[in-house]
Amino acid sequence: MAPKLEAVHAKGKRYDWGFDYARPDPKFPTRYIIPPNGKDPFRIMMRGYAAMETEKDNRVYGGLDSDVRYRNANVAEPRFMEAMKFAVPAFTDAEYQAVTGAGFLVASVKNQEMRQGFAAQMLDEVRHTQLEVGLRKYYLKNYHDPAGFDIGQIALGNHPVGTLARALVPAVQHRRPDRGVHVPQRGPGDGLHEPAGGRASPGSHAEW
Amino acid sequence: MSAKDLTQVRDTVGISLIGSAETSMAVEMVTEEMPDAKITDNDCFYKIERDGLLRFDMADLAERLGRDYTVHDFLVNMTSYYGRIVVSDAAVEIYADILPERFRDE
Repeated sequence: MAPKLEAVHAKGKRYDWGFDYARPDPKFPTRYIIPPNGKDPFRIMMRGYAAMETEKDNRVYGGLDSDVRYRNANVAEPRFMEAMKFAVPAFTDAEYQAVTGAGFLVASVKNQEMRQGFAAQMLDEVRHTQLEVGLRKYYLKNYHDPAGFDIGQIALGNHPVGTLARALVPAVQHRRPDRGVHVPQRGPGDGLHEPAGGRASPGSHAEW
Repeated sequence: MSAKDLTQVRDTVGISLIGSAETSMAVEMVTEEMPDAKITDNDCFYKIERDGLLRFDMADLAERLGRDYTVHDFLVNMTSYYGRIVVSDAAVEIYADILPERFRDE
């Protein structure tokens, strides 16, 4: 009989370790403290999560497959499709940067239970990136006027809209989370986990 | 201005499920076993709401579907929820209260 999810999840939380030679400071200090006893109600474990992701992918790619056979790409409103030529590469970039955002959380929240969920979130964002690149390829091959979908990645780097998208996403995705992730692991005052002069306060050098 | 009193305390919990064969079984189960639940059919998804507790038993759903059914299969159909969710092997439960003890502050 397979072990219970509750038991496996409880065991998984014990696979944690401290740092005895490196400084485990998060990249950006914060004035917020997240308690180390946060709990994940979903009890996310990689095996179960991978099964969910597989099912979701099967549904999405199954839908795209039937779209190809029904020639649905050419039923779409042309103005919508022109907007998608800008939007899809920008969203792909946003998903890719969300991978980084989840990585920030994994590196910063000193709580193994939450980290498992954040790692799953990271994989989910990787999946979104792949799905959207797949969508771009679908439009490129199946829409009657694909010009624009073929240069999505180049435009993201060179076109003014691409530049705006690249500049906007980190501002909304990365700036806030990194401020809520500083958790002193061994208690305040040990000098290891706090910036010089004590915990960062509003207006200090750590505030940006 | 709405006359509804938004400050009134409620203990309603809810879940949205994508329309699928599994969701149809879940809706059927809720209709039979939690008749006080409010079910809204929004064409491509269902919203299920109830006071206090919503409980989806995987063994029950598996029997109705005639095949194995896990919480992970169930969560694929879940788009959102409100309340306090607890996921275990046997069931997905959404409580209005802070239950079980695991979720209370230590």
